[in-house]
Amino acid sequence: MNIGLILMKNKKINAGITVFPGSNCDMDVYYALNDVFNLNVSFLWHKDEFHNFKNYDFIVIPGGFSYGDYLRAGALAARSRIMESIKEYADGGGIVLGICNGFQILLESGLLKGAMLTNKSLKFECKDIYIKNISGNNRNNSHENPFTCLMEKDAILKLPIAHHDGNYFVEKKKLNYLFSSGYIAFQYCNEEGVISDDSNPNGSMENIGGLFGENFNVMGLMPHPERASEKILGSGDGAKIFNSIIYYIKNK
Amino acid sequence: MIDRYSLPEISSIWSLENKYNTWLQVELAVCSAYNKIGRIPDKSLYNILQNAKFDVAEIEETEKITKHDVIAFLTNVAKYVGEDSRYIHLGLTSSDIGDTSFSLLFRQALNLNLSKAKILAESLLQKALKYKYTPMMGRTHGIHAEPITFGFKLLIFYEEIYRGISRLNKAIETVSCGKLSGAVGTFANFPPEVEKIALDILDLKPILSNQVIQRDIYAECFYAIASLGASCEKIALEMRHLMRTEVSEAEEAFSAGQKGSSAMPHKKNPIVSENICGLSRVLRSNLISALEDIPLWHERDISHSSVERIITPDSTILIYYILNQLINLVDNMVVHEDRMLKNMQLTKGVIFSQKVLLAMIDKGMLREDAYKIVQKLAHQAIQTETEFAVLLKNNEDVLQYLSETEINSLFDINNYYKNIDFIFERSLSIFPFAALAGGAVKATVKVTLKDEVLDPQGKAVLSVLKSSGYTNIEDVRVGKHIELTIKQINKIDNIKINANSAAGDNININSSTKEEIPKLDKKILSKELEEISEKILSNPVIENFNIELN
Repeated sequence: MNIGLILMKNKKINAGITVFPGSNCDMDVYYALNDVFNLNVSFLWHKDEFHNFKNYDFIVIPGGFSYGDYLRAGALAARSRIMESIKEYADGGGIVLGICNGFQILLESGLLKGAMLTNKSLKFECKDIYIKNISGNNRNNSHENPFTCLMEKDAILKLPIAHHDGNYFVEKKKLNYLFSSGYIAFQYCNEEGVISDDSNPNGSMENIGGLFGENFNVMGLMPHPERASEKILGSGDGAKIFNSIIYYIKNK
Repeated sequence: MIDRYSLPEISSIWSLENKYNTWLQVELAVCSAYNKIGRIPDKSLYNILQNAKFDVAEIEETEKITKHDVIAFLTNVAKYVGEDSRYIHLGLTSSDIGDTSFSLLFRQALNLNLSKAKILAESLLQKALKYKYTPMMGRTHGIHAEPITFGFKLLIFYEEIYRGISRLNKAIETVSCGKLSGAVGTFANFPPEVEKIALDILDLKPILSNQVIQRDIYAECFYAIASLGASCEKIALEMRHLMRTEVSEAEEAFSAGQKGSSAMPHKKNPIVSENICGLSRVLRSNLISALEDIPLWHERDISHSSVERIITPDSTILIYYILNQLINLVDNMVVHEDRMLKNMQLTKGVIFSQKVLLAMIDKGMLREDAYKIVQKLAHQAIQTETEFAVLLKNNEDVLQYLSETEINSLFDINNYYKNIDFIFERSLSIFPFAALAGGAVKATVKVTLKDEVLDPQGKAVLSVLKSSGYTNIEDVRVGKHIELTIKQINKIDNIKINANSAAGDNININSSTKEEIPKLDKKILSKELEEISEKILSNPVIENFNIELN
């Protein structure tokens, strides 16, 4: 199948991007989904609600500083009207990807377990890092999920991070549960895939950089795949995540 | 004051410990003022501020010898300060310390009572709103007059307590004065600028004095207390009347296990109300003594001192106890709305007599003639236990002026309540509760990271502290302090009364709709704050919270 045909087919996929006051990666995600992957993309305003869940094949909560990170990163956005709809959408099986601030919002809204603390370094970390796909590493996680289904086990992705509060925290007991149930999607690692404190950019527990929700249809991801969706951007690895989502939707 | 009526928070103000502590505050303020004008060296002031303290038991021992409390106190403080104690009490007379401290202590006690009185006003307003449309008999001279509502009665109490609070505020302003002007107030051995600086530190105003502050100042405070007490007594007295067996419209809460009488097991007595009525008499007596303290010989005699030692703690402690009792009484009183309605029917509808009178005058009857007829029929209604409306409808003179339908319409109880909303609205615009609460009730929520959660900010601050030489600090945790201002009642919900009466029938009133005002209910408010803190202000995964409601 030639690339033009693939792109033509993609046009039938509808993606939604939420916009909060302070979202600043919404246009980046729009560019990636619309221009790079040729999807049908629309924005979802934070004050609105939506009930036509069938109109969206997946929704991205983009990065940024929703509500200026006031109170806690993501805390206020998680209580906005659009998130009520997104919770319903996710509960009904809808695919939701939260990137960076979107990850924080998913945590604050309870769609994902745990919370984000300030980076251990106290710095705003803005650089390329590596993450390793550990989904499917666990026998409980043999089923495919929308976000990594095209990736090989232990695949290493080079992606940029840009955040101040990405230090993932969860109670010890819950952490064990998350691992044993296969809910950990990505861990920070070095170029060779070694997971260690040295390759942990923010102090996250167990180097966690990506996390699934209860039914594997929701994922929070600290790095920005939309900023690595084409080689010209320095890395095309982010495309692997979006391609997985597209593939999953087409074949489900 | 005897223990029975002494609540610890107010009694502690009048403890010896607090008295000496206040004396010490005044002495230290004077030292600081002297230091400002260069009379006490920095080093000595530092030494005084660091080491000045006292021991109550030691002072008492010394006083047995000196027979003078201020000297005993100074001797004791000097023991702890050492050589620099020569700078303490420079150029002052005992009354400078005694009266200035007396003002401070009196102010403390009034402030505590002020906060209690505000709670009482809040309780009264809450109940007034709850029973805004609860019909009951209005009585003048103890005799049925015209219908009122229970909320209306309570609103009058609210306004009165509100005025009592204003008097307390004024008394607090008046008593916020001190004197540091020497033996007869002429500053012969004490610089006026030191008085000014020292009183500023203590947040007091200077006042022209001889040896002492003039006693009309304090008498004003005793008046504020006695008058507030009398208002409390009035509310309690009303409760006693309403609780009388023949009336039975309201009663004090009777707790499980409570006994009314040792001889008569059936008794439920208005003991709290009677207690308040009794104690209020003591407040009035104390006011007389306070007024008698105003005339003193020449530049002062000491006849007032012994009186004040008794009446000041007693009055401030008693009014505090009264307020506390009355708040409980109001919050927990049992109201018999059915009985209020029944009692309205006791007088066979004559309570509508004025409406009938005015209607007949309106229709052209001479006032004198109309009065005679209405009075005759009203008295007859009570004597013969016949409905007043029936007598009216059977009287030819009346029927000449009023049709049966017109008579029926006069017996509509709603006619009496058409201005209830207006009354409440006007009252709350003149006496807004929000203003009483100092503008706003505030809640403070402190959000802190859980112990097991790493706090990078705290660690950073800690390392700065350490590098700045503060080696005593072991750990730092950074949290959030969030202030919430709570909305006060400022508008009255429009709940319409659903009451009517038909002439000749029993007064038939459907129970009116009432609503608790949720914003005032502390339990509901606490629950709401808990919810806000848990769901939004904190993230329970990583944070704990703590709520303080002022």
